[in-house]
Amino acid sequence: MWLELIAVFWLLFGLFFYSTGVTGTIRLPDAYARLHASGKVGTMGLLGILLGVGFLVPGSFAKLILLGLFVTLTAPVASHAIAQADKTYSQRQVVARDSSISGKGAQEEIEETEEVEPVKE
Amino acid sequence: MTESLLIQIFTNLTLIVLVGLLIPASYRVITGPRVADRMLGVDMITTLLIGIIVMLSVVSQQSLLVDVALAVAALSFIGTLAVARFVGEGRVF
Repeated sequence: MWLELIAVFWLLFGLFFYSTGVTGTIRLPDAYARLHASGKVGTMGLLGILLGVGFLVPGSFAKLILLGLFVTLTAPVASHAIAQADKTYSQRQVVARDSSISGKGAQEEIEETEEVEPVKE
Repeated sequence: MTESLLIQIFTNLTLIVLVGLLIPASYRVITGPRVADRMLGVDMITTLLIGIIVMLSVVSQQSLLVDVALAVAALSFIGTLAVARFVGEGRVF
């Protein structure tokens, strides 16, 4: 009985963090801020769900721990890869636009250009 | 394995809420203004999908689905890295 109550608590914990992560993914203003929501809060929700299921089904506790460790290790790497891809993509867009306007590659203007598109409300 | 009525109702409700959370997560994939928004939306959807598969293994009482969740986690990580490299550098390999 107490194990089930602990499992219900951790499942509610995971649901709360999942809902917060999805809400942040929708409502935050910038791509990097949304990355913060989906990378960390979603992983926390998954860890809560995994702990709750581990208390419910003790037979597969080791595999759930392995899954939690794997997701905890790989989610920051994926978020970093997405952020770096967005940065490189924006710089490539800026270089293509400037070279199409002025006819020569504006390599020295990369450092002082910021976002390509305005931030959506 | 016999579970009590509270656990049955609660695990089914959790599964329903997790599947319902897929809809606002796919909103960011559809109307993301940039490529990074769509990529992180797909990342969020796969994180939700791992939780859905694990909850489905509790509801349908098949512990084989945890291995499926492990495979989905590994493949989503590889896929996210490949798409990020393709968007960033213009090529995968």
